[in-house]
Amino acid sequence: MGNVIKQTNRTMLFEVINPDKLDFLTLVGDVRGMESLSDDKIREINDHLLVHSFDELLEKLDPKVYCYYNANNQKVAYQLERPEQVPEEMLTEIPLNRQNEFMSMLMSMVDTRRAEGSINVNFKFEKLTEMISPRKVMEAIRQNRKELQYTYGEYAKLEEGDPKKLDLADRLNVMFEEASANYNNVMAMLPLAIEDIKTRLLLGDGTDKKDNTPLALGVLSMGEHGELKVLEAPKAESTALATVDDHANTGLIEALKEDYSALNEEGNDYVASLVARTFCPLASTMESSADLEQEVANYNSYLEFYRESKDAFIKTVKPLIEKLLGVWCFFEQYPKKIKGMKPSLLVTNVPNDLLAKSGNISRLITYLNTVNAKNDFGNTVWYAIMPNVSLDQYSKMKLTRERFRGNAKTERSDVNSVESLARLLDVFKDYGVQCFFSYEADDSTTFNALATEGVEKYEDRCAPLRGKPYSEYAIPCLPNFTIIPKDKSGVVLDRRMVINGETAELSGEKEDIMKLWIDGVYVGAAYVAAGIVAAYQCPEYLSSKFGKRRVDPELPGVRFDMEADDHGLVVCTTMAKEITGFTNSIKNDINRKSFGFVFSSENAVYKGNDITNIMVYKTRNLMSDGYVYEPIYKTQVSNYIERILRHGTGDFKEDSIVQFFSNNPNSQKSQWLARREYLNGILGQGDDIEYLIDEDNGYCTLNITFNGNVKNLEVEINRLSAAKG
Amino acid sequence: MKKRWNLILSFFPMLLLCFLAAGVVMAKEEDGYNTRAGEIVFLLDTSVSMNTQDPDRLAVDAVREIWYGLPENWQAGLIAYGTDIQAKVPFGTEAQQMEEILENLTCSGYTNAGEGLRQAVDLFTEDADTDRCIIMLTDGEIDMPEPQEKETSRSLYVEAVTRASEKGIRMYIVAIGSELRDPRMHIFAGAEETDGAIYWEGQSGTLSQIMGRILTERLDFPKENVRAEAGSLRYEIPAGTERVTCVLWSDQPIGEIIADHPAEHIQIIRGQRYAMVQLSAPEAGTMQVQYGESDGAEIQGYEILEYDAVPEVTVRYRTEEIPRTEEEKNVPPVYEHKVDLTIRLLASSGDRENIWADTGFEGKEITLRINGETYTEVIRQGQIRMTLPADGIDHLEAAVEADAEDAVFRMEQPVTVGIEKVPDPVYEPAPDYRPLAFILGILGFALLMLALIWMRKKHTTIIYMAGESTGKEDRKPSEVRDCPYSGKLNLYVVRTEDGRDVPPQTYRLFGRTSGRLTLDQILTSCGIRLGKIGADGILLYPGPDHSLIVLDQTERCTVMRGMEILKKGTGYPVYYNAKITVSFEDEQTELELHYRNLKPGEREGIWE
Repeated sequence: MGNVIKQTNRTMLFEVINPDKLDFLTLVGDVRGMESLSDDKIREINDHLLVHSFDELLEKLDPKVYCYYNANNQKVAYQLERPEQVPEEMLTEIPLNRQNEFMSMLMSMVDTRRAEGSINVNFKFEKLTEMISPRKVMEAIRQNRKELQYTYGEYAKLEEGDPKKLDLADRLNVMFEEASANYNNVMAMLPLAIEDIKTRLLLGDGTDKKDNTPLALGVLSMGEHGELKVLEAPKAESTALATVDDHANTGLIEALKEDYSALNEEGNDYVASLVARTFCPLASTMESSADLEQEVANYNSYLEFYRESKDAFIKTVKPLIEKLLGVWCFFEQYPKKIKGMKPSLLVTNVPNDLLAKSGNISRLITYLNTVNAKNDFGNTVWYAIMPNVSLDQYSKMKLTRERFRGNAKTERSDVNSVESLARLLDVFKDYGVQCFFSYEADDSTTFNALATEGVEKYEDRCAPLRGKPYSEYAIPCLPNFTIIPKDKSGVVLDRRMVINGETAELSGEKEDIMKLWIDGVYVGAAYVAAGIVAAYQCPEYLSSKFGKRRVDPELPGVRFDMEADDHGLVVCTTMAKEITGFTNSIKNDINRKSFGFVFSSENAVYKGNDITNIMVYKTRNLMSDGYVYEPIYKTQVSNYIERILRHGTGDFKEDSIVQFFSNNPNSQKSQWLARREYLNGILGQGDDIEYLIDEDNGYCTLNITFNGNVKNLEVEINRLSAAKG
Repeated sequence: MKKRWNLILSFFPMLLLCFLAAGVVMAKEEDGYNTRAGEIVFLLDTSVSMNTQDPDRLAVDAVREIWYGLPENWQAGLIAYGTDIQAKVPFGTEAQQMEEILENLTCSGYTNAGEGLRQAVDLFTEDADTDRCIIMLTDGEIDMPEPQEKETSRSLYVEAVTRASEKGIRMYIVAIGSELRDPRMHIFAGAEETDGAIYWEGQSGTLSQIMGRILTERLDFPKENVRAEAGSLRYEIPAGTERVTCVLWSDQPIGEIIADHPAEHIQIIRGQRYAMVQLSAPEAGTMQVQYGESDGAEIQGYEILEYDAVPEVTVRYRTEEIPRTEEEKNVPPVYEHKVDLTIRLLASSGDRENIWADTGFEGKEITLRINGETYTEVIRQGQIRMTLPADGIDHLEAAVEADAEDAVFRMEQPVTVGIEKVPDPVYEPAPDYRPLAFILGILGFALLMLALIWMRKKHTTIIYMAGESTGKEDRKPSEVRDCPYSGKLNLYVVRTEDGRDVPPQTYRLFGRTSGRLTLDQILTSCGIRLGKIGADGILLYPGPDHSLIVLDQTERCTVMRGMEILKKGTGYPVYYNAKITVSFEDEQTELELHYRNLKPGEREGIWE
């Protein structure tokens, strides 16, 4: 079998996930005088930044948003970076994980669409966007609290020392942990309060029979009059929390209160009680009194505050959420059930403009010199992802780091400049890292836009990157994926409450509908492109698609050509189709230029089954022979062969090179030729490889023929007289 | 010592007849000249009738006019006759004696022209090559008291005429007064027989004019006519002149004569109708003779220039090799022997000035006789240059035929000049230069090799190289030469003083001519301006095996090869994929240099 590299899909993601976590630059550290990093350093980097799944990313990088309250404008503020001027006790960290309703909603949306296979125009986005309304939040909590109540009940029944009690204790710990994620977030408590008021004031609402008898309302007051004063100095004043007379739940209520108090040293009693009441059974008897007008006013105030806060929250976290969704999509391309060459992602967690600065780029070089210029390929980086590249083809790097980003500019300030991309590509070319990049994700770079405008716009944007030494390593990916279209991103939270006589009811007026706009959520194509390419590097993945007979179980998928035959139909992305397809003229345009890594949302049938996922249409980089661009597999095969050759010939020893390409059945070339029938054979059908040694210049030129097209690879021979060369 | 003479003569009484206007007369065209000596005898009729015919004794004045107007090589005699010979002045008589004779002459008796002529003819010498003539001034035919005496005189006259004709003596007969109007008269036969001429006073002019005509028309000696201009005559006196005689005559009495010119001696002689100025050893220049003239007087004049000269001959002997053909290269050469002559004509006395230096002689052809051969040469720049064969002669005898129409030359010649001969160069066969050429070739080759070695040394840089990572303090000189640059340098400005970000740059070393490069040059080439922070003291040289030698010659920069700090002034080889870190003198700016290889495709400059 000869030499095989078992890892050909390590990918570097050039994005910031959590600025508070260690980043690539920090971990690499000072590289003055160093040509490579130590193995310990590589391990440390991997420990902090290398992830193999989305969940691992959430765990290692712990994406979160910081929340604090501004007393001057009575508003809540969100920030992705820790605001240093705000005291720790005034700061609330909101984790962005699968439990986050916004995150959860978006992931559900992708899953649902994938499952339904419906295109954007047909998909009922509002069904899922409703997930972040207070009612849906409450529904989710209700479901959780039932489980919590049941588990706690079982736990309480068992005697001390019973082994089963310990098991239940473990389970309760997990449930409390999940529930506690909401304790820290007043905002997360707000829908609970809203629903709590709504439940009490509109008891029976929605039923045919309406009971107009005023309810004995519980105390829901954050201040003396229940108004939201938490923002100033949350302090419990007069509270009339219901005392639970149900002895069965006493323990759970106390446990929740204790847990809340433990996590929030200066938490207020109102919230503690609200938490307890939310997560304990409602069957308990409550004694409360409430002023109807005050309650309605509070309700409307809460709702308005909730809407504004949610709006601010979404605007702040959306870029991060998009990144997280991108990472999620990257890993989603590789099925979880397959156990093979699982893609791994190294997150730089540092802004690209900072990384691409002259003072820092040598750290990247040193890192790549360590992992890519050795004959140990376990940590070799093969791909890079740089999403959100500015559509301004002449965009420059920012001179200074922007530390205080306003909400309004959050989206735009996150784009990567073309200059920083070019600088990084210049490094990538020396280390054989293929870079998937996509332009800033918005409604102008979607399938819809591509279907109407064509690829010319993208080709123009790529002009500064063409004709350069690094063009071969620049892979423009398009179009970007739409999670929620801009025009369908409205979320109805609820309706205002009005007093009708002695009772309160929800307003039927249109202007009283409380709605917020997510403004569209998109995922950069580079994530998916890198994800699918990383996925098909795995022979098991290819086997799952094409059957074991056609795939060599050892070889990676470096030679796999997505454009060839029906490969595009078999190896699809996990993303659901978005549009009905491109017009023939657009497709002709794409085919004529063979530009970019292009996804297509087409109606297709493979072996009688409709393909409902987005497919890969073109896989080209920016190196052009003047007519068409080069397929990306050629670059990867060249890199693979060069690395194998270096490894197999003791750093290009001349006699070993001769042996490497000899006709001996055990030579590497012979072994590759013997496996050309496989889809993942390093040399495929019609491929060949020849070598020519230039004794005078000490170079070996490899002529790698791909289906008749020759690609040259030059390596310097390691001769005895030039051992240092 | 020359004296300046300033002579002013007293005024004569104005006896002037009004003659022609303006006093300007055209000189007669010269019809020939003669430098031969001459003899002239005046035959003066002093019969009693002369008292009537020449009451003013103008005949005597006329004799003086010619007498004084002759050049020195002419001699004059006189026979005065009446019935008998009253006075006989032979040749060589002093002027003063002659003046006395003339003063004492009286007119009386008959006219015995026969006897007079006989004695006149007898006065002539027998010298050859001499012009001879008799000027007879008479107023009538032969007349004696007795017929027989008259016949005898006539016979004598005829006989004398015959003898004169035989001697080549020409007779110029001047008929004075009005008695001799018939040309068939017997007395005039003498003119006819001797090929002479007859002048009638009045018809032929006044006596002085007739004398002037005889002087200028009949007496053939060198002279130059001059023109009268408003009471003065201008005489040009060339350099080296020994004697100048300026003559003027008029048909009217001549008044005061003023002549002023520097000369050794000046003499003015004045008659009734003539005057002359004689200068000895005059200086060169123009002499102006002013005269008092009567209204209408016709003034004529001439000058006689006389030189005492000796040719100066300078010779230079030389040999001239006759050109040989390539085949005759080793044959003894044949020489021509020549003598170059330079001839000048120097005055015999005084400052021995070169007479030919006068512009009047420039371009004039001169006949020379040298060793019996006649040559005609042209005066150039006051001298004659000529070349003669010198074979067979050891001296030159040269004489100059200095005939001139306006001057009399008295030459001391021929002159003899010895030729100092120089022996011909001794023929030496051409030496054999082949051994010398061989030695020189060896030397040249050695020099060339030395030059090459020097050039090689010049392009060789000696660098003290650090030891090969042994950690020892060894440091040995190493020559760096003829190594080409290779690869490229990636430049990363890690930090700057002002915090600005400098984009990474690539500097291509491959293809550069070998030699030193400074980091400053590279930064400048890449457009990176960091200021004077020591980059110019960090030197790069191409080394063997594609290495790059880095040399830190700064005072305060820190240069690292990997983790190793480079010692100052020591070269360190850097190989491909190595990293050099430079901390500059400002202690702020840092730069990383990554030394990278170029693939053949990149070497072709596709991406440059």
